[in-house]
Amino acid sequence: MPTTLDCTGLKCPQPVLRTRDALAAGPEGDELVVLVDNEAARGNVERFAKSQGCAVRVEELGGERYRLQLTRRKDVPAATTPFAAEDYPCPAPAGPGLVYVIPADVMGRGDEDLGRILMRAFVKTIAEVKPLPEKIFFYNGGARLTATDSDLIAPLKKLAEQGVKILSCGTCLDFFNLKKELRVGEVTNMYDIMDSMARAAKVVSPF
Amino acid sequence: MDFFTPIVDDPYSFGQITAANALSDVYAMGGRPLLAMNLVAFPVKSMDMAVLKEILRGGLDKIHEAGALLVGGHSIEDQELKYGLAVTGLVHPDRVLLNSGARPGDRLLLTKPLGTGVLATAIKGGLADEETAARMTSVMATLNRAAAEAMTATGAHGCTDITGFGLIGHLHEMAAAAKVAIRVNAAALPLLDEALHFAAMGMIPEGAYKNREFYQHRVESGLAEMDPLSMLLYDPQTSGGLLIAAPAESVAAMARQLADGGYPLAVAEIGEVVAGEAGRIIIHS
Repeated sequence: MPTTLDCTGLKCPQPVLRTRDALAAGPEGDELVVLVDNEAARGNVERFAKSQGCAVRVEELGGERYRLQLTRRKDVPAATTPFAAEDYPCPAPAGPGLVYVIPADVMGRGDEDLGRILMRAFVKTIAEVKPLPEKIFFYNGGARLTATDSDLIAPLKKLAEQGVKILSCGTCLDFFNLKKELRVGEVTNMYDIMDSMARAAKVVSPF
Repeated sequence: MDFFTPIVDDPYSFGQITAANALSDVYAMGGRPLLAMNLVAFPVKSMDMAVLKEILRGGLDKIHEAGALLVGGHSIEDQELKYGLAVTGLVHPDRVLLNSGARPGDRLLLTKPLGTGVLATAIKGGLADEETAARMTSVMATLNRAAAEAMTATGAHGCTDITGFGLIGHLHEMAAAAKVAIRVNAAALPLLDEALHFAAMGMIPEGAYKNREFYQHRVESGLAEMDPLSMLLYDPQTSGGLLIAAPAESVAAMARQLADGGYPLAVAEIGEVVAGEAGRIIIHS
């Protein structure tokens, strides 16, 4: 089975950088399958692969989605351009940069009502602090905020428009019987939460 | 008037590039800029005011280099930084140059090398070195003043400046407006160093693919599809050069005047205007 590199949802030049890293990691003669979902990424990954001496087979999956099968050709030296991955010590980030975690609907301990006021202020202030996070996870009591707290829906929607992924724990929404009430962002699972936290450059959470 | 979100990291350079780009519209009409007004959107709460100061200083330096005056402006608070200028210039009504003025027999002069979009993508990807970044910045920050002065001194039929639609987009607009066809000699195109190298590596901005999708049905190209040069023709340019249509001897005189005046960038005759289907672009490899 060839290695598959999923570059869907990524903008240029990220798909090329990831392909470069994957090719650099794989042994000679290996095949690499790259999935992309826009025309620019398809063209750029194909160009890059050919510049590195790979044969490329492109399969259209419909709706600007493509599957590119890269095969390193034995008769061609690996790099036909003076480019070598190790010359450029700037690898694509392996995980998200900044992740916010909202684990409750209150912030701090002492008084529940005060905690709720603080948490609302915290969420509303996220937009003011740069850089913006790539993802915000809401779980346990935090998942209530994305479903029921009408004060926070508009600011969170604004963050989503700016490219911040708003993700609420599905188990938690189920537990509170709020799955149908989710008003901003998407439902996520424990794997995504843990994977993002483990690979993030930085995790920020109020406690 | 024109304004941008940041295209380079250095605020002073960003100010220079934005001003050079906004002033270019006046130059492309054969005019001389007189007055400029700043337009600023700035995240006051989250960004150091020193950044804004540097941007405005870069803009002002270019306004002065253009011989124009900064006479005011307007600023608002915004989450995303934006800077631009509204420029007023002067040109004799009989000597306004439009892209519709090109005539069959004219030669085409391009006054800046292509490839700023590709290099910006490579820089974003961490692949280009500082020298390449500095060269790209200096090309974008170069005023089209010397080019416009050479053009008006010699006389031209038509002119436009190369920006977001890429060379082909602006060639097509010129050819369509003038109801002519244009032949381009691809081998003559001035290119930024390393632009071909990075285009071959797939460091091509999405805008180039959008331009290609939009314009390619008007283009008849002798270049192979995978030739990296074929995508550079569609590469969106920031503060690109002037594309001037004029008789052969005028184009030669302009190129001479620029060279004699110490113009720092590559200038080249890239093709000719021919009678034919309005808006058609023919690329010779």
